[in-house]
Amino acid sequence: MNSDSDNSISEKEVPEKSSANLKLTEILEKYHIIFKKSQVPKIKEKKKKHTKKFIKKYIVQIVKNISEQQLKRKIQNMKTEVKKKTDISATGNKNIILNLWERQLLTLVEGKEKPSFSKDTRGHGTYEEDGDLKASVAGVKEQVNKLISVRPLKSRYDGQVGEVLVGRIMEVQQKRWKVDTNARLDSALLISSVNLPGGELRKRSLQDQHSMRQYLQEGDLISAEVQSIFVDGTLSLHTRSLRYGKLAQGILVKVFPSLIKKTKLHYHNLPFGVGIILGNNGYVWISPPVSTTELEGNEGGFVQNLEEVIPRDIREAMARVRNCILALAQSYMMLFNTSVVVAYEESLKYAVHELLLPEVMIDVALLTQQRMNMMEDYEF
Amino acid sequence: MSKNKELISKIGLRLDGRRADELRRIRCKMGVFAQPDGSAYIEQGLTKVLAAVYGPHQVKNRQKAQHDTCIINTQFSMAVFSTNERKKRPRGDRKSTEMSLHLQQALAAVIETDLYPWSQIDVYVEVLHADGGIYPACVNAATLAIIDAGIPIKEYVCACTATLANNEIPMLDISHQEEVLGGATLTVAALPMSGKIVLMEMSQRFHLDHLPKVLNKALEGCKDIKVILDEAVKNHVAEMGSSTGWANSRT
Amino acid sequence: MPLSEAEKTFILHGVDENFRQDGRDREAYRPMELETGTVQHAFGSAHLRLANTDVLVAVKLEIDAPFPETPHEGKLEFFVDCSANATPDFEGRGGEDLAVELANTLASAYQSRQAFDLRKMCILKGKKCWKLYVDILILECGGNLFDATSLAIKAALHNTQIPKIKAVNIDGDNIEIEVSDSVSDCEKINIENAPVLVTLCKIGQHCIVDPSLSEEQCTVGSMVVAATKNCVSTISLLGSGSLHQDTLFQFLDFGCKIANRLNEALMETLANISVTNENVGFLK
Repeated sequence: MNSDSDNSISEKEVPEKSSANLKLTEILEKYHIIFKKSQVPKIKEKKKKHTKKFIKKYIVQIVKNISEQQLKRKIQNMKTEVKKKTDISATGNKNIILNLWERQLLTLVEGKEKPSFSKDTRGHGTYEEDGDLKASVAGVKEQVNKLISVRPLKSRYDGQVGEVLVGRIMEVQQKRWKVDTNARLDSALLISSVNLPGGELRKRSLQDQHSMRQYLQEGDLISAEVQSIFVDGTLSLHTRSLRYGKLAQGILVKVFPSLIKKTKLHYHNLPFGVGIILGNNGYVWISPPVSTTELEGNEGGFVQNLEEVIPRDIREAMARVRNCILALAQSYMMLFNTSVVVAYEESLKYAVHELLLPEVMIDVALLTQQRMNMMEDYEF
Repeated sequence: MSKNKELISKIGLRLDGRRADELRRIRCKMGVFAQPDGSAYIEQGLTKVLAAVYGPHQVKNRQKAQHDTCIINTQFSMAVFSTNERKKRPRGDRKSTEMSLHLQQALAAVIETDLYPWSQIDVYVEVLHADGGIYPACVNAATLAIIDAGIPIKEYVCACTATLANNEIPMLDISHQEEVLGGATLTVAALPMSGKIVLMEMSQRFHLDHLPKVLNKALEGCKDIKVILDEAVKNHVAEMGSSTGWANSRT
Repeated sequence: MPLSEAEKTFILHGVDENFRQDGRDREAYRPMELETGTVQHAFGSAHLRLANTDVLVAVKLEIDAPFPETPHEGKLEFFVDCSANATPDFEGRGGEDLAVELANTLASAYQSRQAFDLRKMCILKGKKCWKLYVDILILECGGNLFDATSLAIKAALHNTQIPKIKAVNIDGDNIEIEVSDSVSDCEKINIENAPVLVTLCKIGQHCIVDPSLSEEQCTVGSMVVAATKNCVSTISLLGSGSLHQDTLFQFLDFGCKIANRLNEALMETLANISVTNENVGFLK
């Protein structure tokens, strides 16, 4: 069941040890019952039978004799190794890089059965039927310890607490603004979770509720962070930091959310005089560079300078960034700081308006991908 | 029933050169448009259908919102030039309304609606060329579009038509010509992996004795279609994944 | 979806600067893709994609009786269908207003004899004529529908093949018309003078063409000009804005210039398209 997807991944060269391990896991997947800790006699018997079969297969495939004891130890070793690597408490939120054999990353498709490990937990994009875990969306399988989830390549924004996003005010209601964030429900920005002019600890009076439209009105763009998620799935946002708030002049580009790489920083001042916010929800905001000093005197981030005319060179750079981002998105390339910078540099041989042509867009994306592949520390 | 006899020749070929259990050529593409959340295009023989999915999003009409499931809203529409005789209206007639309902019925069976309370999913299908088997093409296109939109479904829902030729041979995937010449057409929408039927429709009088074998044929057809769609989805995902490096560039 | 004031200001300044959001100048169009013969069973068809705007046009022919007031002429009918695929707002009857507006503008643009000669569509004076159904299907909306539609229509008409009439048998009141079956035995329609629509938008003090969706929201007034070879066949103002008389004439000149340029580009493309004649449709 997994063999087809495994083939597609395992073309790359791997060190000898991991290739042996890879083979082992491949066989293991067929006899996953070995992992069962159950003491029910029926299962115990089955376990024994499978272990024997497994050893036979192991000898045939790896051409090495092995005893039951040795095998048990080997599997145990591998298990601890993987466990150590993926232990959340030890690694924190660091990006974990797994080896080929460690990684059970498969492109799984609708309802395909997965190797059911002993105690899999159902994650997003999966459902259970007759004791089997099946994928319900087409995408990439991810496994963290025993939680298996399938992430679709393209979908609405599925928000998580702490993520930075860009949104547009849709409606002003009592005590809250409704914000379009490309999520499945409109998000809410409560008046209690914004910084009103006059300092953080200011009391929010009825007066403020009546003049909400003064701060943010329909159509305004904001950057915010997900504060919490309500029971029904509505995202609750907050802008209680100087970084967040109303956005001034600039260009909004929409891509699908999964193209935005999740990083620590989503605010970037690119070297060519453009500031971007890569919202986790797929909304990318391109603006003139944001100076940090300017933020200090800001009145809760609700003031815009509509008089300011952005100089031509910055305008050009912004338009170029916009077109580059669209070119990358069209070729399904991940968007983050480096990829945007590289695409910008690669696009310099074209005029900005030429970047709208389909063949040029593909060219820029290809060149970017080549450069990214060449970078040594390049990792997803 | 004399007309029926001509549907399959002595050597077992149909009017368009197919055998009784062969489907027409299916070609499809996912992600045709940029604005909808998901879109797909399918060609089954000459029948061509475009499908677009918007959502899940906030319910537009607040009164209709459900606290435990999402609303699936479908609209079937046919381009006025899709048939040989030009149509007067693209939608709004009884047939279109019925098609919309049937489509919704089939999709509601597979979409995991309980994951999206207070939400709504819009599915729009547009027939560009009608040459028999419109409903199956719409269901198949909608399935692909929903997968493209990343909406969780329990399994593929595929649809297929079948009929009885020469009063004995069950025949798959009926073209318009055969629809006109032949007798009853059985339309089935099924979940091919679990073998469940979500929609069945019969167009004419039909002897009950024949039903099992025609139905089986139609279900086989659904399974064949599922394989083709599955292949297309895999290719699409692989293509998208390879350039992003989601799937296979981590070493 | 509304834009914020700041975004509008940014667009406005960009137009002043002659450098728009996507790097175009005021007179530039976004790249287009054109394909003819996409709908196999129609007499002629074209599929045009202008950035995110997607239009499919099919031409169907029928034999009909001409109107009594114009016995020498054939008939031409435009029908626009805004598919809900384009945007959920078009669901049900939501797209009807736009569709009717578009169809009416097109009909009046093609009304003049200088623009499109319907006399060629007459088979038998006062009795029989061809009726051309031009059906337009809007599949995606990315701004500037009018221009895209008119170009697609022109391409579809260019692609249209009218079968030759072999014989007309008149038997009292009964008229029978024999139409040639052969595919090669067809006539082409002369579209040399068919109008091209250009939408002109006034943003700030300047006029732009081919507005994107967000630019359409910033316009203070917009106008559609249907022009053919320096003749204007229709002018209509769109939306709620208003234009000053002087600006209007200035726009008109500008529009004609753009229309001529578009027309040339289209005719050149159409001349080349017939050579390759490869259909990929939506599968590409």
